[in-house]
Amino acid sequence: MNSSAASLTHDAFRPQRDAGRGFRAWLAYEFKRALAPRRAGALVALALLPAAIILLLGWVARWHGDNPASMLSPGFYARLFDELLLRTVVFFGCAWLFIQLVRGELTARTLHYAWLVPVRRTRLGGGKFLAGMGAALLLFGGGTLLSRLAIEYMRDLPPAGAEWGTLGGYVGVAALACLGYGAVFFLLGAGVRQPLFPALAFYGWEQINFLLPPWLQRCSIIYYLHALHPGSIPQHEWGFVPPPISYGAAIAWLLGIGALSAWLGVRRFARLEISYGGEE
Amino acid sequence: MLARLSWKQVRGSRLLMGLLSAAAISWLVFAILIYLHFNTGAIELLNLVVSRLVPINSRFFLTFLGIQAVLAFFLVLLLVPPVFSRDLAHQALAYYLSRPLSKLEYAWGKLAVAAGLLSAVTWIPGLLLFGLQAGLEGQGWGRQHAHIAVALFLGSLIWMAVIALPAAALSTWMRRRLSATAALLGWFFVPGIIAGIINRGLTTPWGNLFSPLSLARIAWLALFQITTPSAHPVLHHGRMPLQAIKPVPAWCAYLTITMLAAVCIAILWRRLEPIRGVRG
Repeated sequence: MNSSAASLTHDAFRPQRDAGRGFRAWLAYEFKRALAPRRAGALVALALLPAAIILLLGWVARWHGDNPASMLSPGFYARLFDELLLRTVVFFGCAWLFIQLVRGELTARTLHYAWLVPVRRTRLGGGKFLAGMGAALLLFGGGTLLSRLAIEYMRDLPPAGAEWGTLGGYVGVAALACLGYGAVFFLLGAGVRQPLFPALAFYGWEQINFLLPPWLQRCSIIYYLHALHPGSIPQHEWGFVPPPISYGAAIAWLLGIGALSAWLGVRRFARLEISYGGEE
Repeated sequence: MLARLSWKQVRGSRLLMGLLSAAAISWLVFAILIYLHFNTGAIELLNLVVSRLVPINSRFFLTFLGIQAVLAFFLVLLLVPPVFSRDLAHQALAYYLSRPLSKLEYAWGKLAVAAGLLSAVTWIPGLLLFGLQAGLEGQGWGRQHAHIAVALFLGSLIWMAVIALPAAALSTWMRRRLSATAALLGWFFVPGIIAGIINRGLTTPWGNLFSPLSLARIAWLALFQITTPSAHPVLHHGRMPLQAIKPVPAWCAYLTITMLAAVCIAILWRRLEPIRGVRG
């Protein structure tokens, strides 16, 4: 055996290297699974919904002989981004995607196969979360990008330099929303037997955020996302004025909430005991 | 037999008992509000002025139906997905349909418990309230306001069609309780947001036809003979304000609800197959 072959054999059987390779394989498998056509069909439709609505509205306006540019203003997009993309598409999309990561395996009774993979459970959990994040970024970041391009297409105005910056801002906020909501739903999926009722309560909490007193508004994700919103969204007439927060602090809070929830979710996943009884 | 089995599956749920208790408490509050109008002793004791009490009219009963409808939605969320998904996920449909039982009888048997409980929180307490008011008021109040009783009954049936039939169709389509419940939540919330964006974008009320909630609301307003106050037709940014635009005619809402129910029944019929092809 020559020296290179000997080192190759030696390297190939190093446990750390095997674990790293196993983790990468697991990540790739989970990513493909999250985007499998049967699972992701509804998610793709949800991600494309804002762009489809913008195109529909633009075409209807043209059909009526109106100029779509007057209707599809930056203010209209800012509101659409808040109401449809952040609060609906990203929220429900992340709920579906991240809850299914663990709870879906329990209902399909396939989680024990995952635990046969020779990778530590914390890494399996981390891989699941990262794969979910990758899929969410691809779907909802892409959906945001497409919706913005759709509005520029319908307005017949080539985007100027500043508008590309705004576009980046919108995609960035969508990505942070994926992290915040995704991590919370991953934790719910790993930790709660019936995660949809807490998810519904969380939806209500996010929706009534503007009605909460300022100190309580900070205990939500939408508050930080609104602080980073690149456009201007109208204030509710009978809500509290949200307390001001800097961009850096809002990003730090979102990253912190995401990291903490994901860490708790991974810990919960690692300690999960399989009990398929009652899962449907 | 099927209804009895379905009832056995759900009767122990604490969440179900909580929802039924909430419905009973809501009914009691409304009954007390009616009773207060006629109990002079209580009015004097509580130092109340009759004219300042909530008026007992169509809006009173519509508010009651609205509150019970929210509870009914949660009941559907809890009751309908499990009864279908259990049988479909465990391939048990063939066993049921090998007995002298048609698909229609199977579906009705499975939905009977939900229908019974939905009736118990919507039109039955509604008609009891109506009877209480008619009995206490006397002087032909019941006959003069018979349309309220009809509206309570038909409005409840419409609500059941809008939530229970899609729930059954989604449950048979998704075949998993978690997915079906998530899809039902999406069905309840997402179309309303889309409808709002279409309405605002095109300054039209026709977007409401996309939202099951708005459809039910239009039908209820027509049944209770309540006309929404319209704003003065002042142009707002060169467009009519939404409130000033003529609302969607009730017959359009009835037609859309009928079409929706037909589509749900068709899906239910198509998906309730005792033997399905095995995927490779």
